Amino acid sequence: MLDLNKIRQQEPFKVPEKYFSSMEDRVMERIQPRKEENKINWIDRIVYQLQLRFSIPSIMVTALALIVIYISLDQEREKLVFSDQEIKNFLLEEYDESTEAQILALTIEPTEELILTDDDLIEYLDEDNIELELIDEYLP
Amino acid sequence: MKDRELIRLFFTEGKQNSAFRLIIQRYSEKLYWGIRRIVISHEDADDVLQDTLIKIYKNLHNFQERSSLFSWMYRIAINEALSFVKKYRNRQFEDPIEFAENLRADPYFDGDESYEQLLIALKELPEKQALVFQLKYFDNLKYEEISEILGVTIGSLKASYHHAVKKIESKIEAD
Repeated sequence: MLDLNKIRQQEPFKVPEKYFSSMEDRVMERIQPRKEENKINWIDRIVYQLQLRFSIPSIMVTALALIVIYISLDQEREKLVFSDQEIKNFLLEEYDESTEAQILALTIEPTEELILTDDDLIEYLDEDNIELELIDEYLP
Repeated sequence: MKDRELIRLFFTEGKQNSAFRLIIQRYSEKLYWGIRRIVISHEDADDVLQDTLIKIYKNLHNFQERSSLFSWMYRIAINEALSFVKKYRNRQFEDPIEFAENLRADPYFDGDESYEQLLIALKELPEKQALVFQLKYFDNLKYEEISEILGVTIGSLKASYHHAVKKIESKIEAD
């Protein structure tokens, strides 16, 4: 007569000596070199951190809200596109003679820093250590 | 260290491998015995266990803590073992006489005749009943844990276990 309780007391399966204590090293050898671990799994870390902090429904609601915001901004952008005629009309409405006078009054005067003497140029070239052979190549 | 802390350590920069070593230390033996009773030979169980652990390493970010870490890992191990058996199932695994001969020739098996009979009877059960029997009888897991691992209701598990025991008893008595 079969006695299931008696059979359970046996453990007939065996393993080689030190089998379980060597498992770590054998598996880790197959996984990947240690120095690569951070480069490869940063996406996993982000996904895990998101899952840890937020539930799946809240992530989905946030994603949906972002999509709605993007679409509405896109529609707003479309409204801001003006035709050539609209621009022309705007400029004609806004233009007056005082504006023109203001533009003409603007003059550009070189500042002192922009005026370079020959000495400045020589000093600049010396600082950059340009080799004479290289200069010769570009000179006629 | 609790499992949750272990998982957080795994996702801490520079700590991934050392955390995973701790996971291997803690669970590899339990996973091995679950796999071994499905694939039977030590060499096959070793291959399946290593593949299982690598799969766990690569998919730990998918673990959402809806079950215990062990249940999640054990489910992966069982699936890997069942896939292995389906892929490499051959005549010697199906034929009870050859199956018994292989068991006796296995240097890592020293069960008596009653244990051999039990394993042969187990091989003839439907997959679900055999799994439930294994987890309840050999691994001594609670129905709640088996339910987490297999994703089956406790009522259904109790029925499966009951049918499995009856079939095994009648099979062995008939032999």
